[in-house]
Amino acid sequence: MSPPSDNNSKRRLFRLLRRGARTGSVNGRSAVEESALWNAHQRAATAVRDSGEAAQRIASHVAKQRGTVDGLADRARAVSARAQDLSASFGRIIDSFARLELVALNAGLEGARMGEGAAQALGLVSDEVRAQATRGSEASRELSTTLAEIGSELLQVNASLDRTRETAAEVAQEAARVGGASADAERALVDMGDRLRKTTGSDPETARAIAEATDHARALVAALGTLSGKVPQALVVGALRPVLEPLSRMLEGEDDEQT
Amino acid sequence: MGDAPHEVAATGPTGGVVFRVGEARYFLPAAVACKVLPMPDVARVPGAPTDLVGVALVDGETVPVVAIGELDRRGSRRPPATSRPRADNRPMLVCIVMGERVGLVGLEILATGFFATAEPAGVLHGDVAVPLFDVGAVVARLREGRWAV
Repeated sequence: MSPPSDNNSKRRLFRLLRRGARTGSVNGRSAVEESALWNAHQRAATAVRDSGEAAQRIASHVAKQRGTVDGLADRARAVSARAQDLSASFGRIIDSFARLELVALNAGLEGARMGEGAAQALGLVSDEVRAQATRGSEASRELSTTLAEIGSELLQVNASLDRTRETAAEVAQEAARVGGASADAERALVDMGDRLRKTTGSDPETARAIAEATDHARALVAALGTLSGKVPQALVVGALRPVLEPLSRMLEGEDDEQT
Repeated sequence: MGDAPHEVAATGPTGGVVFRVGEARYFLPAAVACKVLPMPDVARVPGAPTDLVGVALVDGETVPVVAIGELDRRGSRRPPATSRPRADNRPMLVCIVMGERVGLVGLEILATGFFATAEPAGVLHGDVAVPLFDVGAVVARLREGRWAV
């Protein structure tokens, strides 16, 4: 048999636990809800901050890309201008070959005027010069045509680069819009947090701690329920007393305050 | 005029120039054809017949320039001369007709030198008989033509 004072103490403890289990279910649920609310708020704030930073990074990358595209467009324009210069040079080369052909023709005509003997040697040179001039002229003409095609390709490259630049400008605008929206959302979440703090009287850390304590208490009650009837009550109370007495005192004090 | 059949008797060689006007080939002897020049700047003669392109300075002397073939017209939409057979930038053949120098344009020079003579009048260019070009007739037609002045 246990002494009467021990029996009284045990009764008080279980009464408190039972009462705590009854009233705590409402408060505990509220604490869990608050904790979930603060968690959601925290996640939203983190996501909004991340999206704002991502928007800034996108804007920065787009600015770099735009610089690269501008550089490419400048180079393409310079190459196009060089191609036009070269085309003019080829025109002069073709003219020179044409003049050379005329020189060869005139040599042949002069030879024809000088007589058959002299004309034979002059004619050979004239024919050879004319053949080489024709070949040079044709080669220059082919090069000139190829150069014109390259110039045309470069024009298309320039047009594509212009379109890329326009797209980059649009992406930069959209990134700026996303950045602005993220900043707005962040401010709204800060405001929401303030109002939540005022409404619930809690803060994220406290709500989290209360939720954890509630979970632990619920686990303890569940464990005690499992032991009930299997292990002698005296043994359980003896083992738990050193741990639960401070809690009992705390709950009793709160109970007294409430009454 | 134009390219004649191949069965032509060839005799001793004749010096001169073979040229093409359109699809037809012609020959001018070296005694008539003086020289080949690049197409010069031509001053138009108001009211002149259409064949007379104008006058040009050749070796300090004013020479009438006569078109014996098609020339590119001003405002022509043809591609630039560098990418097609030359027309306006084809050379001018300077000839002496009755002691006067005349420039012929609208032709393409094919060859100069000695060519085998083909009867009755002309030469063989390759295996094609090429007739003599009657430059005198061209000049006479020009003289007889109606001037708009």
